[in-house]
Amino acid sequence: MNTLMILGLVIFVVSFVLISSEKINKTIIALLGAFLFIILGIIGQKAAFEEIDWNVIFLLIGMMVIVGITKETGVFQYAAIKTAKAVKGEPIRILILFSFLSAVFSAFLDNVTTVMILTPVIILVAVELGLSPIPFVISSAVASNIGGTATLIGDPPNIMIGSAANFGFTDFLVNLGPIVAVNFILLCLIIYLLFRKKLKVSIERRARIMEFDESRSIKDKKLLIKSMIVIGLVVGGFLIHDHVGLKPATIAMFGAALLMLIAGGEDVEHFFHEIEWGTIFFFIGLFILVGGLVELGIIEILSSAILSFTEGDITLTAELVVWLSGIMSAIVDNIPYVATMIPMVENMGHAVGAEAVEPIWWSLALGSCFGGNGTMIGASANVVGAGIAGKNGYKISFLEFTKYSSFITLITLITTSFYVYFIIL
Amino acid sequence: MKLSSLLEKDLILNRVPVKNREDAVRLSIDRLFDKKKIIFDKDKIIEEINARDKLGGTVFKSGLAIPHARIKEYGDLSIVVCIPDHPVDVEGQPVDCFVVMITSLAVSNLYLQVLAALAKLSNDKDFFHALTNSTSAEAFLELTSDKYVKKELTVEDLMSTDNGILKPEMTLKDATDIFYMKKTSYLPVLSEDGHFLGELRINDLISVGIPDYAKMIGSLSFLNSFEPFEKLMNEEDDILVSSVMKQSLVSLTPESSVVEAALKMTQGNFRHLPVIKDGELIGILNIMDILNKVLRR
Repeated sequence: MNTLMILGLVIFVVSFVLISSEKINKTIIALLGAFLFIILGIIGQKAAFEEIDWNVIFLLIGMMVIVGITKETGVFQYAAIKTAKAVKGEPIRILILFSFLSAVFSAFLDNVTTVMILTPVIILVAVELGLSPIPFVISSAVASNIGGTATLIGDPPNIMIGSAANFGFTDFLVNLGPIVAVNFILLCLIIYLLFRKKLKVSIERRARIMEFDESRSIKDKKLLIKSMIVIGLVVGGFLIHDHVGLKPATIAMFGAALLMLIAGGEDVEHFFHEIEWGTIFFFIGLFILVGGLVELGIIEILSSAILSFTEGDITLTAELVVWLSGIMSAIVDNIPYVATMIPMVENMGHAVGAEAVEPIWWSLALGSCFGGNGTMIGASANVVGAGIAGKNGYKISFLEFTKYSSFITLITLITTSFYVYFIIL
Repeated sequence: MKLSSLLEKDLILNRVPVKNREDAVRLSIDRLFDKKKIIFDKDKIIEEINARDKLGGTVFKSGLAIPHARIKEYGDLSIVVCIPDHPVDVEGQPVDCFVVMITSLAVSNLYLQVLAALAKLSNDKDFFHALTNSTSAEAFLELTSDKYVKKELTVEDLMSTDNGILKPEMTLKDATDIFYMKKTSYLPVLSEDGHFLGELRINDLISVGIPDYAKMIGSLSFLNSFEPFEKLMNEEDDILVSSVMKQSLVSLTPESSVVEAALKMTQGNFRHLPVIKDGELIGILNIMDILNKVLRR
């Protein structure tokens, strides 16, 4: 190891720790670290800018614009209220169906967006039922992390992995869908057993839910129709993108541009406010940081270390990646973790063949997505959900949240181990 | 600028017999046309003055009346002072002094400053008495020789100083009562020793009644039977003003110009702004002050 390698490693580790501690804004840290890498000559500017994965950036931006416009229509609230009424205000069914909604929404939306949209409605329904919203909020956040695992666009790690490994939208659905479904059913079972006795409400309370008029939550019917058309086209595009030789980023950006046009594209700035620029630049900084590590040869050292530890055994490596990713994601931000793991898996691919490492990619996706539920701080959706509950006077402590979520994570990681062993490998 | 330098000896009518407001206006305008070469239609100007008077606000409790008109392309500021020989009743208010003004259509700063200066002078009872009892134009000018018109109209000239105040240890019940009694939507919060601590707007008070999750949902139109003020009604005795008041992020100084105030109020969508000097509240500017004292004066 030379001095530059040590310097680069120190900057990377310090950035990683600061990002995970969330004491300073993570985007600023990532950008500072990234451009420090360039200033120190660890990676040249040209090479650094080429490290930025535009598939990921444009897919994120495209989806943020589409979701941002659609969410203004009130359709997500509509779905939540309709659901609560469909089960006649029966609390345990509402709890399970709200978890289902969270899982389905987050398969297509960002997990944090899902939680930000659904949690306020969930709290409202719980308060109207005279129940503590806490079980509802925790279940919804945990379910969003599980549901987000199922698709290419459901969770940022999947977006990165899909781009790096060249996996398409249907690849994710086919390979990850089944285990997500199994784990979601297990989640429902656990919720049912834990909360069914605690959730008793009077007829009068249930009648209050039935009084809700969900049709009035649709704020803009015309916009809703336009959004639904574009979302339909985009999802259709995702399903066939591999066959027509297009990347998901192109489909998402085209959909975003189309929706902006038909939603009245006079004032583009208004739509661009929906883009979380902090997140976008966080990714940009990370790509450069990780690119620097690759340049320094550190990634190669680490990946050969893993391969030599597992003696090149793919089964063992895949299982190791599931558990390592699960544990790491519970403690640190899973986005920088996955960003770092991606070049490592690519390196393993160079050693043992691209075909052979395919299970490792799926293990990485499953471990890092499910692992986020390990603690309250393991996934942004958890932090945001608990934060909204806290602001409304329902404080959820780290331990209370983690008590439920870590148990669920343990079960999901165990099932994932079996799934990887029996199905994926 | 000296007030007296805006006045002309020939345009001051002392102790003239006047029966009513119309007389005073007619007399003043006759004198103006007499002494100056004015190309505008006299009757039209009088018509304009009468139309403006109908809108109200041209008669002050101090006994000063300011019939005036803005005439398109007038291009000058003409001031005629008319002091009747005995007080004239205008809408039940005895008037001791008419100041008839004609200016161009564009809002002239000078004109507003003259108005502000006159209004202020008329509030000084002894001075105003001496002024309205002056027997000649020279005496009138002599009296006003040390009176100045401010270069620019400032917030100090528009603000009000008799507002209700809150103390941080008051409850929301007290605050609601004061809002209700004062018929205002803005109350400053002052410490025991009179320091300005912050402000409470009626929006912030009502916002207490709406739970956070409802604000996040953004629209509650789907609810038919929600009772948003349940919380406010239940807890108004326990919530202190200090916990809901806001830091005043935007404020004015007494020297702030009217345009600065107008910009701050329209940009931030404020109806009221505190006027602060050295950390002390010295008044409150209501956006209606700009309407009443600038646009329609």
